[in-house]
Amino acid sequence: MTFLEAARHLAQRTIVEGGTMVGDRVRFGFFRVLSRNPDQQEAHTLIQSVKHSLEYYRSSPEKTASLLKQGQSSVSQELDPSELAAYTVFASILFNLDETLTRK
Amino acid sequence: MKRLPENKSVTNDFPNRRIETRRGFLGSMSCGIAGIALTHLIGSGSGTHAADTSLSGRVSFPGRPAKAKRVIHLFQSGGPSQLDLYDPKPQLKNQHGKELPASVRKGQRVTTMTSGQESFPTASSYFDFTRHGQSGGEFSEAIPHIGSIADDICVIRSMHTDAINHDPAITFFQTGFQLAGNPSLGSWLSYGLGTDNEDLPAFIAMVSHRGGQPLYDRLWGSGFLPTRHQGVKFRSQGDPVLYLNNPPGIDSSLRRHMLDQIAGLNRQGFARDQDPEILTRIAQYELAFRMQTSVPDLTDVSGEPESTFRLYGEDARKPGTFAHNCLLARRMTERGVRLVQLFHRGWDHHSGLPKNLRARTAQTDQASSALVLDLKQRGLLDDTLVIWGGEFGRTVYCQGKLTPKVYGRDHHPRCFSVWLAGGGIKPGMIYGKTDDYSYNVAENPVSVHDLHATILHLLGIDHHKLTFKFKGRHFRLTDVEGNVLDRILG
Repeated sequence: MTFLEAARHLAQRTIVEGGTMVGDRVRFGFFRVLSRNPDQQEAHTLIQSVKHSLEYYRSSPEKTASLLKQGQSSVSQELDPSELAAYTVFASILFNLDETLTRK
Repeated sequence: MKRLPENKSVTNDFPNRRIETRRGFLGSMSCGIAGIALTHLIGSGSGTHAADTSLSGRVSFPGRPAKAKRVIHLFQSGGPSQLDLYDPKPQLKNQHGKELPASVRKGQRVTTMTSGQESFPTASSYFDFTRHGQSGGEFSEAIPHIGSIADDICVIRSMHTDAINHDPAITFFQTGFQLAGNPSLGSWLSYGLGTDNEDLPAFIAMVSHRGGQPLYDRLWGSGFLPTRHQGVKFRSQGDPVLYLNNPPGIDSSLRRHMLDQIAGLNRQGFARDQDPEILTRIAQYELAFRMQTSVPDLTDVSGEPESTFRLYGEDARKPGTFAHNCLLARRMTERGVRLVQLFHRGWDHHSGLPKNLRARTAQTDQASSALVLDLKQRGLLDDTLVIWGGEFGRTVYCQGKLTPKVYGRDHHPRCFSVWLAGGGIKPGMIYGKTDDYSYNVAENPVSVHDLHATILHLLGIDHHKLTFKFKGRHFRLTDVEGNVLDRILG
């Protein structure tokens, strides 16, 4: 649950600080987690993934609400909930990469 | 089923792999049987989930038919007393309280828990032994249910081990070495034989009874083998496997999407730095995805008939008990899990042995025998090897207070008893003998390496051939020892 909550907060920062374009946001979040820029293929994969998740949450406000309810910290009311949910999934993907979890 | 060429021994020498990082270097050696699976993995990098299925690559060992396909190890942690369970010495009643003769102990070391004692008085067992079955094996009154399956099991009374304290002794029993860092039996089996069920781990560990000697996750660890071969411990309360359910707001289609993206990115990482542990992670994520379905199905015993609970005892309804774990072990075995290892704690009876031993046998006796009977009635005993025993035995001399009903026993590595059933073991047999004091082995000594060699033999593996190159040498479960016990094979 803590992991999911952390993902939501990274999502929030990504939306607020990462610019307005999906590509910029993906690069912002990626850099925050891995301290490097994604290559073209990685960026492409993640951009497509964000679009997929965004469609998923736009079509289901209930799923959006129940995802954002997880955790104890408050959720920003100014952000588009389905966008926040989609970037939460994006952040969760980043958190679970081998490169994130393994120190080389 | 893949077959090795006859002239190829099962090792992990793959010379042409890239060596870049330390982990890559270590990883480059992680081939052998698993390596064959690995080459499939690497080859299948472009497919979406192809990585997962190739992990099952079971390799047959030429000319060595397997009697057993899987193993259930009922590990009794702490060192159950052979003198009070399996190795009767009725003549010791006359010696009760008398000093253990020096000719028996021969100056051998004892632990610091008793080395300061002024005397080493003999403690005869409080328990009576009776003969059971056609085979007439003698068993303590404390284990009537195990006694009732005397004709199905082979008791070895002449086990001995090198270690005198719990941790090195358990580590030795698990891995063939007293020092930590080597693969445990289950990891070797997963490495050598792969899995028969891609939806569950090949090696599962479960712990029961609070209190007693601590157990560590490294006891079911994979040591220097690729980490996908490590045992997965199922928790005794709450969810057996944590975080297996999707969080609210993420359904299984989105979970699938996430795993595909993660796997794609991880594969790119593997293409970059050739670390085979990345492949393990990809495979484990996929396994976890499949376990979201397979584990609830495995652990839900509500569909078991009443007869199951009559057989295993009412405890089997309660998660976390030994009986419940025995029932789960049977369900895992039915589903093809290679090694299920149960650890029941609390056998370390330095004092108050009769009372404390009774408490343990009350938790384990019925379920242990029920498991054997249940496997038998389902036709699974023929190819499932069951092992029951601890890491060492206990001393004939008393530790602490001695009365006819109260005594304690210290750790004793020089002899102890284990029993085996099914999987090609000769049933209804007592093997090996101890001296009059159950202190030294008198006949047919069995080392831990011998037992390991025999277990591998029953599974169709030549213990000399299953090796993994590490630190410049080919390591085996049996180190440089081990003889198969031909006389206990059925």
